[in-house]
Amino acid sequence: MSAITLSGVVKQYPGGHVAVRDLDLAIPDGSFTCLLGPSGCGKTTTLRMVAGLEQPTAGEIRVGDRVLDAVDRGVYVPPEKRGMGLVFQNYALWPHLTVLRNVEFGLRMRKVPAAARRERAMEALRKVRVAECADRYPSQLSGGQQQRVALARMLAVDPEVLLLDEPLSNLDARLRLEMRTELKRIHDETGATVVFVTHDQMEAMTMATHVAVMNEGELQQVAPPVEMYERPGNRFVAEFVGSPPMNVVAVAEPLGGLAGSLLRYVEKRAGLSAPGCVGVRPEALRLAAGPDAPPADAWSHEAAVETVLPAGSSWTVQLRLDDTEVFAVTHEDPGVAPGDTVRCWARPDRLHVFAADGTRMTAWDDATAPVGKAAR
Amino acid sequence: MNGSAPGRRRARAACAGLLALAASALAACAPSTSGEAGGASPLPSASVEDAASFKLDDLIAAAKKEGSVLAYDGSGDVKDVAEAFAKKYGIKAEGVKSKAAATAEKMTRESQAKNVTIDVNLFEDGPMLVGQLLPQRIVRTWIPPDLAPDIAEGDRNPLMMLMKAYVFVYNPKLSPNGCPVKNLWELTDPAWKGKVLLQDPLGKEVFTQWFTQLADHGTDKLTAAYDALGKGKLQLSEKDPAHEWVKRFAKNSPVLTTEDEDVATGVAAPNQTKQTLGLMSIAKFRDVEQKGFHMKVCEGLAPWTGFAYPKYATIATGSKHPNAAKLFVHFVLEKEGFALESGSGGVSGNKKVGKSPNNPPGLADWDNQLFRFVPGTMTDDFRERQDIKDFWRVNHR
Amino acid sequence: MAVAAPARPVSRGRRVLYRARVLLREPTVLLGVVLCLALLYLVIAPLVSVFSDAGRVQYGDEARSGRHTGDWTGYYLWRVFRSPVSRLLFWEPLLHTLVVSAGVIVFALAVGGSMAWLVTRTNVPGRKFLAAALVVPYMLPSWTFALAWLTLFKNERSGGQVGYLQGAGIATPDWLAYGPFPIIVTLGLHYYPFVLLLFGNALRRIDAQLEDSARILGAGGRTVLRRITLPLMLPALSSAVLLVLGRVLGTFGTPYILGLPSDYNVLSTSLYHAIRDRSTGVASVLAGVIVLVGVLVVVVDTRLVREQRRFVTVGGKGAMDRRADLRRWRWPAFAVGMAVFLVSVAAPVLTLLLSTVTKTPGVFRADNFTLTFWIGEDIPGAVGFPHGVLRGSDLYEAAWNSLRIVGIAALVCGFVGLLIGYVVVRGDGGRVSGFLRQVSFLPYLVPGIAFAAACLSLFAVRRGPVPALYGTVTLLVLVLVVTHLPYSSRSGIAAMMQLGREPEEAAQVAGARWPVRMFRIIVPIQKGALVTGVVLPLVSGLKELSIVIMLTTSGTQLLTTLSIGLVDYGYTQLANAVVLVIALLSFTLTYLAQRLTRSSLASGIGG
Repeated sequence: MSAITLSGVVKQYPGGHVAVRDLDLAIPDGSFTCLLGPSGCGKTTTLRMVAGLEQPTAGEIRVGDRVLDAVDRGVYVPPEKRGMGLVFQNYALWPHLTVLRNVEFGLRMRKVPAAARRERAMEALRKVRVAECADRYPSQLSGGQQQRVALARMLAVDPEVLLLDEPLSNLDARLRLEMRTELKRIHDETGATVVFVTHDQMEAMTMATHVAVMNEGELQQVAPPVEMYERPGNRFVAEFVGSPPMNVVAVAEPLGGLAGSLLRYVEKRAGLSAPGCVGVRPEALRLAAGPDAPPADAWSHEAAVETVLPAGSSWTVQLRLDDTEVFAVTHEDPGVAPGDTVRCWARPDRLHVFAADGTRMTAWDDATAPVGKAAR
Repeated sequence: MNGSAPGRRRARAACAGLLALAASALAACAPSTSGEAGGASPLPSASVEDAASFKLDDLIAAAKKEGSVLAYDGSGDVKDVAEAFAKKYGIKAEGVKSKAAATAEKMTRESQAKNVTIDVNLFEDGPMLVGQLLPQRIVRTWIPPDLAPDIAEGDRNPLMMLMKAYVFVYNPKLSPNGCPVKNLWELTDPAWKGKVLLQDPLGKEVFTQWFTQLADHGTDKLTAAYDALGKGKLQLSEKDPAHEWVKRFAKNSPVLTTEDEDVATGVAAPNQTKQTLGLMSIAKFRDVEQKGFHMKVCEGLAPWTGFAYPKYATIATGSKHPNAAKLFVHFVLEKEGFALESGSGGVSGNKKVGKSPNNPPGLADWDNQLFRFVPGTMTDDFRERQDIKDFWRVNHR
Repeated sequence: MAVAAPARPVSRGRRVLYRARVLLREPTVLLGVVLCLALLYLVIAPLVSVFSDAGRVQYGDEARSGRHTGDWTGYYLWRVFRSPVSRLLFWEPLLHTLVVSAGVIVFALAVGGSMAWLVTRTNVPGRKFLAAALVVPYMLPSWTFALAWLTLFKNERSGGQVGYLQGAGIATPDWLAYGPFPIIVTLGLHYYPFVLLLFGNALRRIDAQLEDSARILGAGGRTVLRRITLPLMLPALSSAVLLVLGRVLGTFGTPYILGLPSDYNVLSTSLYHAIRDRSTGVASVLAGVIVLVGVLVVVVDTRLVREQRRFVTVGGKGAMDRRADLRRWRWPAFAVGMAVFLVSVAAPVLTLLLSTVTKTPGVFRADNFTLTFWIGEDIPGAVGFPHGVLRGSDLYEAAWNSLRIVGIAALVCGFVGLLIGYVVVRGDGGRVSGFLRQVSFLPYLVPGIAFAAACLSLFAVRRGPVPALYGTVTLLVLVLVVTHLPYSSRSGIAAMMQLGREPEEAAQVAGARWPVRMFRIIVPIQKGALVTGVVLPLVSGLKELSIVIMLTTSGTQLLTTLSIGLVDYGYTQLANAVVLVIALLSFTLTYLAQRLTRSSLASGIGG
């Protein structure tokens, strides 16, 4: 059992800066959980607290039934006794040891006999496909190889919890893609609980079973990636997850135009009181070019086409709705040109409505849920 | 500027005030004239053990049991003495050359640490001995009972092992007709400006002692010598003729060195071309021939060609080899030890041993040619030491 | 998935317990406390004793101060600052110290800076050779330069042999032979390698793109130098100034030898006189002033560097290997480099070497040359050392003692320096790390003799659990360690700064306890820094004289004491031969250490 539970965790640095505030997070056993957020949001600090490299100012951290940190009860388990695996952003391979000795190190610490040690280290190296580098020194390896060795070093000790701190950020695009599938495969093979820190939402969305979004030291939402995308829990998540980002328009004090149109639509449709803002993902925003008229229950608005950016498999269209710039993404040629005036629209269940404090107004989702797909 | 000016001015005024206060406080710390606390502790008395019960053989036996002895001395001769001592008695002995101040420092530390390694101290800084080392009981005096009858009463506390001399020396190759100077006062003439060499008196206590001794006991002869110059009466600008001479001498830019060796080389090395005069230990006549030096004592210099100073033998109070140390002291007071220490002249503290026959050329009559230190006023020498150093410091050019 | 927050009983005691457990597990805390206590005892305590001696009546001064031994008194302050001799004791030496310091710094910066530029930024021929050869002056004992200077320029204003020039009939004026000019030149020649190493490193590290972008924006070569390169060099500059100044404040050998004939005193020689005269009170006041001046400089330096570090981005990536093409100035530049080498290395070494093979130094006739002083079986008339230095066992015993004692001290230094670096860097700017950083550097500013004297008075007697150490090798090693710690701690801090904490954390997560992390991970990775942290104290310790003289007992002869002993006996040639052996030894050791570990001395002095 290696579910990780953080409850009421606070990390305040001596200078007064609060890196993590009152964090309650449960990471399920065997999950691949991504901690996602902009830089400085406290995700790495959280990971390091789990590893034991930093200590919470308050709160409790447990793995399964084992309490690792409990500030209020005076329990502290030092990192070397937590038995976790950690991969650093810059790999932190020891330059004075060969690859094999690097990988063997953890086993040596666990007093594994020499023969078994070598066997297991080689197996770990084979698993990440760098067995042929066993006798080289880290400085003689390429970035990708170093990355794999760092993984092997972690895997060799067979930990139940794998912690990865932005391990792919120093790789080029191709290698990154390759390592993603590799990591997925390793997760499937070992069944360990993986905690993965990244600021790259693509990485998070593609690999994770669960995504935890953090901002300014606070947990925003924990959910499986698809749910996170489709039902962002608050305005921050909505805007942070997705590329290009969700178009969000404040409707709290409509002065007419786009905001007024959205507000009237939302109020009429679900009778919501005082929504703060309304969002729509670019791919949910359709262009009514030519004969297709928007469905009757859809929201629609006049738009001026500003630019069209074709990207092979998709087209990104920048539109101006009154004074607001928004993006739409289509997967077939939109057939518009800059300067055109078109009508854009979105289905009601593809609109996201957030309250004034940024939280999602689920009443809207309930009111607009398509028949047969009940609200959660 | 305008906003902070008053504040800054106030701060500056406060600073100035503080400084003035500190300065006046410092002025108040000037030495007290009353001298209420008096001098250092009194000098412990030194008495002779019962000569009848003393047996040299017993001492030798006890010394052998202790096995070794370490002696410090201002002169390098101590190495040979130690070697001879070891050969004679079969006791491991080591001799180390060390400057007086360093030896005193070391012995004080050792005594404080109760980890005494130096057993015997052959020491030429009498005032330091009388002013500090003896009253602080870092060293003590032991007078060999069997030799005591031959040691003059005045030489017993502290025990004088021998007398050596500092003499003015010239280069006979450059001045074949004898010493170019006849009178000490000539050394204060412009003609000898920058041409007299000696060790820096600030680092050589024998010189400062010479100055204070001159002031206490040599003024008459100095005055007479000045009169003999035929320049009329000596006009004093200092309290006595000795201070006057020291002042004029110091102002005449004597060349200061750190070692006697440099004085000897500067005066007498074969490639020197200018006549200079050096004040150096007679020990420097030791290896004159091997180096090809041309040097001779300045015979006929009035009132003295130099000064004779005593070297004392004491034993560390906390010595772990007290008997070996005693035996060593005994040894240096005997002919054999004395001979090794006086390769180029000297007078033993033991009247039976007497004078060394190896006087350097130009020094025949110790009693009349040399100014002789008076042992009784060493406490005064010690007290006046800092003043005479300051006096030298202020006047030296 | 968010967990409902459990009820949290507020318990202060438990929180403290938690903090305590964490701190106990955090090696830097325990280690930091231990190191702090050790430094308090070994650095601060002696300094306090120096300061307190300055205000208490010393034995023998009762009559003058009018108080009893041990009473508080302002007498020594009065004597140093206000008395009629204060001008000679303090004010003049202070002025001279300022003049000499400024002169040496300017000289060292000019020579070291230009040489650094030459060997790192130009295509001067023989760059590698020059880069190695120009550091050699630092390995020669500093008094070598003074002796060589006198051998060449001495005139009749001092005793002993006249200089070669005077011997050849060329009268050397006093200002050339003695006083500030030769002191500045000789000290400058000894210390410019500091500047060379620091500047060289900084120049190598400055990102060339920074300069390129200025060029592209239209700045001329000179403007780039003035507006971009020099400001970026400021930390190195201030570091170099600090290091040179610290040494100049404390060195007494050179100013003493070259200053005595013209009565030119600086603070360190004034201090030396006071210690030699056993006027402890005055010595303490002077030592206190020197330390204060040093601390003042450090404070200014830290301020300055703190200002600078804000914008200095010394990138690793753009580290350049691009050099200015000197074109037809290549060979003239090489000649200048060689000239510096000749003046700073070849001249002093050859002068000394020449003196060891002549019977009468300065006389160059065939019959005056001899190898007796090196290999002679019997030197007539020499008391105590009747054979050439290479004969007999004295030299070898002294060399072994030097290597053994200084070696142990250097090893301890290197290791403690690394530990200090570890705690300082890991401690993340806490009080402990600030204290360690400052205090471990403090001995650099305290003149060696003053420090040795203070240590003597402190540790000569039994204090608490510490037995009386007087006359033991332990005390010598201890004092050598403390006085040379600044080099090691600087190199340790610099090295740990660069390492970052990940390698250790990786090992920690892998299950390694602190000792394992230290010895299996950190020490091996920092091998190079450790070696420089050992070599610098070793080289400087081998040359150490004043401390050694004060603390050795007769039984243990070191190379320096052997040499000075020979000077005492008047065997200049033998003494010089031993000095050459010291220089050879330091050079060989440095060379080997750098070769074997590919480390650089520059990193050791904090470059």
